[in-house]
Formats: sequence, structure tokens, C-alpha cells
Amino acid sequence: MTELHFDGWFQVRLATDPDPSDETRGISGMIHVFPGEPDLDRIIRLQPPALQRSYCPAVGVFVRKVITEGKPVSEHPLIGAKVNLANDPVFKGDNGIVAEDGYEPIVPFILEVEKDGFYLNRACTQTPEYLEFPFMALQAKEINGDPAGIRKATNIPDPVKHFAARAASLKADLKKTKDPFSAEVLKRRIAFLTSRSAAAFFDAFMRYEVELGGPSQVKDEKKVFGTTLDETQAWSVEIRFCGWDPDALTGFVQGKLRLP
Amino acid sequence: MIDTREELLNALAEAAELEHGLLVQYLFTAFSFKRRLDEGITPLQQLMMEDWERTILSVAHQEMYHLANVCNLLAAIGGAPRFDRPNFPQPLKKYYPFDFELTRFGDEALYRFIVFELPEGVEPPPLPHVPGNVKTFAFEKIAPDPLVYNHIGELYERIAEGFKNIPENVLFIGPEDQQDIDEWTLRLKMHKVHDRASALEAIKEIVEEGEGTKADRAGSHYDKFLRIRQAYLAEKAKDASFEPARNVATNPRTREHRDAGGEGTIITHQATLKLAELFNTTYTTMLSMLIQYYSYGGETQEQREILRDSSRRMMSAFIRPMAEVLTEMPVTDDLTDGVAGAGFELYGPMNYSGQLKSRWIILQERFRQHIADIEEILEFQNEFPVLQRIAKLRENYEGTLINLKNFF
Repeated sequence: MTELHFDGWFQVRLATDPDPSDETRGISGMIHVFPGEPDLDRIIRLQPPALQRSYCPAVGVFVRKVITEGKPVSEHPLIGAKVNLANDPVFKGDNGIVAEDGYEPIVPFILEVEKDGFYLNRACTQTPEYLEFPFMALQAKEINGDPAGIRKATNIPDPVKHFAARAASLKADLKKTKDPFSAEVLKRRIAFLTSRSAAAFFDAFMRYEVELGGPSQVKDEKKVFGTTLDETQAWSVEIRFCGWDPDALTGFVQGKLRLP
Repeated sequence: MIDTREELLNALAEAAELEHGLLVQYLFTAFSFKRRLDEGITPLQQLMMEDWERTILSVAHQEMYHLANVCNLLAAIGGAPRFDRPNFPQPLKKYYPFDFELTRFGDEALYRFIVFELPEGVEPPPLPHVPGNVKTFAFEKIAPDPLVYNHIGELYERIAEGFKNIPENVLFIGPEDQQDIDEWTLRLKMHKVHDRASALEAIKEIVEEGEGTKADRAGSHYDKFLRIRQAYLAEKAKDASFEPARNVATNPRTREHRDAGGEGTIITHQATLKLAELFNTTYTTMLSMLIQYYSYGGETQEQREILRDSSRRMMSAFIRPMAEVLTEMPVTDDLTDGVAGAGFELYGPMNYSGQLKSRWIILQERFRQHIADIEEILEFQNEFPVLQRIAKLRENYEGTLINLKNFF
């Protein structure tokens, strides 16, 4: 058994209730985009390209640790591999019709890991509970709070101060800005970042456990994995989404992929 | 003076119709905004317009809550929920002391909204700068009537008097457990009405949210609409070509209605007509769910919860998307006639059986019909790419039907 532990910042640009789930600008909910920015699309992006507002974390989720038969392998070649959810998955809640806030299934669910000549891609198990309304097996198993764990993982010990620091950088930019539109956008970002809403969901997480028993693709030209991956058995992945940053439209991902 | 149960029930029914009629007018106007920079607006104007839309939708949201609280007041004194209302338009003094119309965003709409929410004793705002066809709305003296009022606050004052005039031990006959005290959202907390004090508290909150208090109007609906009008007129003065709304037809409708008065715009474009009819029937389905939720036909708690949740979801997942798409669809085959909008039409009275089984069967039948209707609309999506948004609604209808079937 090998475990690939991964983490990093992801982006999801999604309208929130009571906006319709396909709202493109964000009117009534907490998330808004500014004129000139791309429309909201709900896609969960673990890798660039993603919209990067100033002073926001860079998106990218990578393998940080590899554990084989219970022991960490410090120099494993897959450390640093890119982890991605393929085929433009979305948090599919559809205003509560599929699932209520926080429990939205990730549809479709296809995990990818890539580094140099190594590539693996596997879809969730292809049974009705994964593929059909209401995608019960793809819904979050838990929504909860974990301030200590999330602040440690993100290296942000105080989210309120973190957002206030970003607001301070934006205030400095505002003093230099002459363009009225840019100034208005900065003012709005500053107002949000210094409001109670900015850090309101930072310490909350959604936890998913997904069986990957569907079609797979594995390429390991340099034999970096160390052994042949068993594609006849289902793999499993556990992912937590947390560290919500409604200004950057990002969050933090922590997860582990278990390979038999 | 209201001093009998019947008069109080009638006044509350009128209040329910009014709240319903107001919120629909606010929604119609909010949905009429341009949403993209390629529609002839600047980025700064877009930001401003999104703020206005957000504010108007938030007021409509509070009106929904007012309507629900009026239903509780009705239930507390033995009445039934009231979701019927006459179709649009409604000219001044036919039903109400207001001119009820579905109009796009602009000075005339804002003027009417300020008049709706005008506090008693406050001078009316200046008339809109719209050439022709401007009415003086609510300020003509009206003939004595069993229920006389010129402002919404005045109607609620009459209702409050009714609650004070009728002996408390005689009035409150409705079972307390047949009121809505669910938290529809974290922002809306319902009032349980069980005596005079709780009834007056619910009424006070409705009035204060509408017009504020004499000492403080800030944050009231009246204040919000005044500020939007001020900002709109200021922007218009800076940029005379500023036109924040799409060319949405006034009072768009799919057919003539016996209970409507005044001029409307008949939708004749085939694809738009089908979508407008689907919008109207879906809106009626949502209202029928609310009637079922509020009128307690023996549903279990789980059944009531799915009715509440499904009707709430319908507002975001069906009503708003379809209403927005309608403002991008031609009203007639002549594209210069402008675009349509959601007419919130009611094709007949909403009379539902008290029989639990019949109610659920009818509800599910309606969803199956909606799913069938959507197929016909999607035939036009190559010609009108905006209709691709409607394809998403098919999933939502199917999902809602599955959710309902799980409970009956």
C-alpha cells in the first residue's frame, strides 16, 4: 500500500445561495466577480490557470509526502507531482436540489497525478450512487470545523489578521491608483476583507471519501512508482476542502490517495 | 374600523395580496438589468447596477418574509393562507390604492416603489421625468370604502387596530402548531403569533422594515429605494445615454386576463411564448407548494420540510433563471419591439383539495408536465443560445420530482 499525501491552494469561482447555481456574476450571494473578470463557472481548479487577484495565494496542489507500507519515503520521485481533478468538476448542489450547502457532490470525480513521465488518472466507481442524482457517494461525508488543523496546514495562524494584512496592501495600492474603476474595485475588496464575512468560513472543512474504481490510465515510463499499480482493485482518495478565502475565491486542499 | 373577525381576515388577505404583488414587481424590475459590458454600460456602471439589483432583490426577499408572516397572522385567527392575487397590470384604485405594473428599471419604477413604501405623513417624492403616461398613483382622495388606506403602513395600522379591537380570548382560535416558524434561511426568522402582543410585534416589524420609524428611516425599503433613485438620477445627469435596463416590455403576458386592467404586452414570439408559459406554470407550482405547506392537509413533518425546501429552492433554481432568460428573448417576431420578461401570470384560481393524496399527485403531475414542456423550448436553442441555460433547468425539474417522490 502506497499513500500519496497532497495539499495546496485550489480555486472555485461559484455563486452562492440565494443566487442561482449558474449565476455568472454573483448578485445576492456572498461571492461576486468584478467587471472584466471571467464569469463564475463553479469549476474546481487544483492547478493553474486560475484567476489571480492581487495578494492572493497561488493555486497549485502537489504531492508533499509518500508513504509506502506505513513508512515515509523522503526522496520519493513523486514528491512534487501535480494533483488535479480532471474534466472540469463542480460542486454540484444546484441550490439544494442535489445537496445542501457543504455537502455538494464533486461531479465528475476523476483524479489525476502527474510528474515528468509519470501519469495516473482514475475515475470514481461507475455505479449509480456515483453517477446518478443525487450522487450520494460523491457527497461530502462531513462538514465541520477544525481551526487548529486548518490554520497549521495553511500556515495562517490568524485568518482575521491575514485578511487585514491583504487589505493593508490593497489600501497602499489604492493611494497610488488614479483609475476610478480600479479604485472602486480596491475599495470593495478592502471593505470585504475587513468585514466579518472574510474569515467566516476559513476554519470549516468539507471531507470527501471517494472510491476510485472506474476507468484508469497509468503511464510510468521511468518506473518512478517503484511497482506496478494494481488497476484491478479500487483505489481510494480522501480530500478535505478548507481555508476558504472568498476574496481570492480559493481554499486549501488536503488529501491522500491510497494505492494498493 | 376593523372590529370583527371577518373584517380582519379580509384586511389580512388584502395585505397578503399586496405583499405578493409588491415582491413580484420588485423582482420583475431587478431582473430587467443589463448584465454584461457589451450591453452598452461601463465597468463602473455595472458595479453600481449590480448593487442596485442586489438591494432590490433583498427587499423582495423581505417581502416574501412579510407575506409568510401575514399567513401566520391569518392562521392565528382561523384564516387560510392567501397566495392568490389579480394579474398585472392593476390600475390605480381598481383593487388597490396603487398602480401595480411590471416595468423595467428606471425612474418610473423607482418612483412607484418609493410611493409603495412611503411612510405616513412623509411628502411624496418628485414625479418621474418620463414623458407622458405618468400617473399620480396613490395621492388622489379615494371614496370611502370598507377598507380605506393610501399607504401600506396605513393598511397595517388598520390591521393592528383590528387586533386591538377584537377581544383577545375570542380572536386567537387557530392552532398554534399550524404556523410557520421554520427558519427558511439564517436571515429570516418567523414570528409565531399566539396573542395580541405577538401579533402586534409581527405587524410592527413588517411596517418598520418597509418604512422605518419616524426617528430612523435608514435601511428601510423606503430609504433603499430613495437612495437608488438618487444614485440613478445622478448617473443619468453625468451620462445622458446611461440606460441600465434592457428593453423589457411593460406587463408582458401570454394572453389576456379577465382580472387584469390596463395595457399589457402580449408575447407572440413562439419560443418566448413557450418559455413564458413554462415560467408562469412553474411559478404557480411553487405557489401551490407554499399553499400546501401553509394549509396543513395532514402532511408529516418530513413532507412539510420537503415542501418548504423545494419551494425555497424553486425561487433560485427556476424562477430567477427563467425570468432572466426571458429578458433576452424577443417579445414579438419584430426584434425592435424589445424583449420579454416574467409576467408572473396566474391562469386560474388556486383551489386545491384538502386531501393529502390528491395534493401530492397533482404536484408530481405538474413537474412531469414541466419536464415535457421544456423539451419543446429546447428545440429553439440553436436559434437562441441563451436557451442553453434552460437545459440546466430540466435537471433541476427532474431532481425536484425525485426529491418529492421520496416523500409520497
